[in-house]
Amino acid sequence: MARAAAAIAALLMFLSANRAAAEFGGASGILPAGTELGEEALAQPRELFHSEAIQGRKSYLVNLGDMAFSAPSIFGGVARQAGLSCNTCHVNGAGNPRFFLPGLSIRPGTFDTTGALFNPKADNGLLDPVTIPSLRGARQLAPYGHDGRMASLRDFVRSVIVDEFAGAEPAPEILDGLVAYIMDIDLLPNPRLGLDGKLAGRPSEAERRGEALFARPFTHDPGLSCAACHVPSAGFVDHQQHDVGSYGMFKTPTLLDANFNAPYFHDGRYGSYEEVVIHFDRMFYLGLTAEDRADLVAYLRAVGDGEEPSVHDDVDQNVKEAADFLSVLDTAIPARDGTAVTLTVDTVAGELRELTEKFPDHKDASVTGGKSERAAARADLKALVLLLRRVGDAADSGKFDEAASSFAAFRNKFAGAIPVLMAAEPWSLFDPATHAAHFAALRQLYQSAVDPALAMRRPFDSD
Amino acid sequence: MMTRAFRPAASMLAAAVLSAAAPVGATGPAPLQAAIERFKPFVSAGIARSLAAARTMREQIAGHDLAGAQRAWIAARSGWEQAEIVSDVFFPDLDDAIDAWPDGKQGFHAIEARLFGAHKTDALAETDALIARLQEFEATLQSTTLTPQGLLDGTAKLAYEIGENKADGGESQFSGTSLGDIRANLAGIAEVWRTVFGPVLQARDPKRAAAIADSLAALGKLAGAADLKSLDETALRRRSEDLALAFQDAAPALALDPPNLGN
Repeated sequence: MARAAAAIAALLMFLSANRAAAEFGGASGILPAGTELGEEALAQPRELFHSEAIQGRKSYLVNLGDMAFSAPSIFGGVARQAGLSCNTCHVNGAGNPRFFLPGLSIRPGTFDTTGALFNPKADNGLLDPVTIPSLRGARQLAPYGHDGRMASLRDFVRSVIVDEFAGAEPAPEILDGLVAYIMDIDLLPNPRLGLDGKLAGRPSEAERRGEALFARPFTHDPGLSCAACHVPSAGFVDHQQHDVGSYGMFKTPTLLDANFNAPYFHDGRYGSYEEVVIHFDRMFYLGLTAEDRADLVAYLRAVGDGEEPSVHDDVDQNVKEAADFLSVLDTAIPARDGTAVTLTVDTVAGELRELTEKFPDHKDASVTGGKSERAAARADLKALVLLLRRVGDAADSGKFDEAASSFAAFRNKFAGAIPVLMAAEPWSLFDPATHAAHFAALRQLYQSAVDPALAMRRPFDSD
Repeated sequence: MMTRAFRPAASMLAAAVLSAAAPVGATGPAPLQAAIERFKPFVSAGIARSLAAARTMREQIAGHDLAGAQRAWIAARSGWEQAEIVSDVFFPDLDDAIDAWPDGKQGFHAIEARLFGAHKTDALAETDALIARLQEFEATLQSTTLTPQGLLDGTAKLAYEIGENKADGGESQFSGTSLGDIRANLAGIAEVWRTVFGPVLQARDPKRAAAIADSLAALGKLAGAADLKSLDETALRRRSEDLALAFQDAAPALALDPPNLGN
């Protein structure tokens, strides 16, 4: 169940003002009612690694960083308590257009990094959320932060952990890993563009006209054009900050992959390319016709496209990710690196517990088939968590030889569990019909928990 | 603020851990079976308390006393959670009906949603059904032999479940009483340890017995957090896994198979 239910639960409890928890001294959830993390989506962003593409495998450091990216324990305070990690917002290194946190988001896909919830010391007293950026292609997109305030990705990542999410000072190795991981995430391939950033293949007439308009000098300031900042041959960025009429200096965002990165502008004020084009037309007196605007939008769609932006979440994806994370132990245990072992064990155990909840237990009446298969899958996953705990406990005690033999036992069990998980998959939440039935039951339960009188007093709507 | 209903569970846990293990020297599972008979009244008492509170809840619901019904629900839930150590393994069908999730039509959580979420007392039919199921549970319990293996399975499973993610508010999120659920679960584990497994294991493998007692004490301390938000989830999860592992490791000395955590 875990955060599976959180989105619906919290939203509906938000409607009922969550009065019961206050009356009875308990707490219905760690995050504010109404929080949507989007974790239950069946479609997950596709993650492409540069190192896998060029050398067929990821390095230890990239795997360490990938694992740490999913580790709540690198954060402190509420974020850690709520089980949030970097990956919660930057799903598989992309963004999270569904993310919504009442009090810190104005619209889905935005988040106030200077709010009080996660680190009271970071609170600037303003509700000024920014969009959650995709990290795809980050190695080519310095400086970092919407305002481009940091030239170093390492400094930026450290600041996110310590300043925004109240984490302890990260171990240098973990920080190195996080940077290596982020630097390794590729943009989606876009066959509609050549290496020089020009349209390739067979673009439509509208796209061609849009490309020409994109490069055309602005009427009232011939020194400017769209392409002057979004340089096609340079990943559609210029690594500079500009004031484009959005109340401040912000770095030029890449247009690559942008079809999957709405809302647009640093604060997510625009939900579509059409709105963005209108903004620039008005701001820079471009004098565009309706056809011009449509052409520019067609061009932006071609530039922002990418192959297979998402993949269906399934057992295979989860097993591969766990295996990648666990590969850290192959190096960390012989190296007697207790920090890396503990972080890996805690993170993967948490992931395996979440995976367990993808196989509904017998109390879930919305799922009728595959009872024995689901039970077997749950049993194997729990056994794996406990085997992993043995690894962690041994390492914590400095018994790395024992940790190595426990990890070998884990590996054997893991290999044996995969067919069991696959056999149960048709009755898991990875199956669209099972997913729909489970969440329909969940919605029904939470709808019955809504107090209509309080729901009328909903303070605002999220758009 | 901890509700009054939960305080006994926490104190029972501490007492059980401290008083565990008056040694029993015999080998094999026979002493366990005898000890189970001394444990069974604990489960019966939990169900009886749950049933009595459910009946009170019915009266309050019929009288449209929302606050009273909410208090009775919490009391009924506490008794049930104390008995959960046997419900999943020995009475899965009744467990499905009484503790269904997610289900807006039957069980504790369907009623909880109306009472605590919607602030309505329109859950009479669901409460009647809950009472019927609890009565059935009470009757079936009397005629059911609780086996040592099943009890070890239920104990280890519950120990593991205590470490599950509470980010969404845990098991009883409408009432905000999930921490009480944890404490009641721990009280059940502590009691089965005190009366059944502890004495036997103390005689046969004192080191493993000490490991379980330590884990239980550590979990009890963590569960003493003021509220769910101040609960150290990482530590709770590690400790719950350590306790499940400790019961797993104790199985050979108890002449039992390693516990099955399935379902």
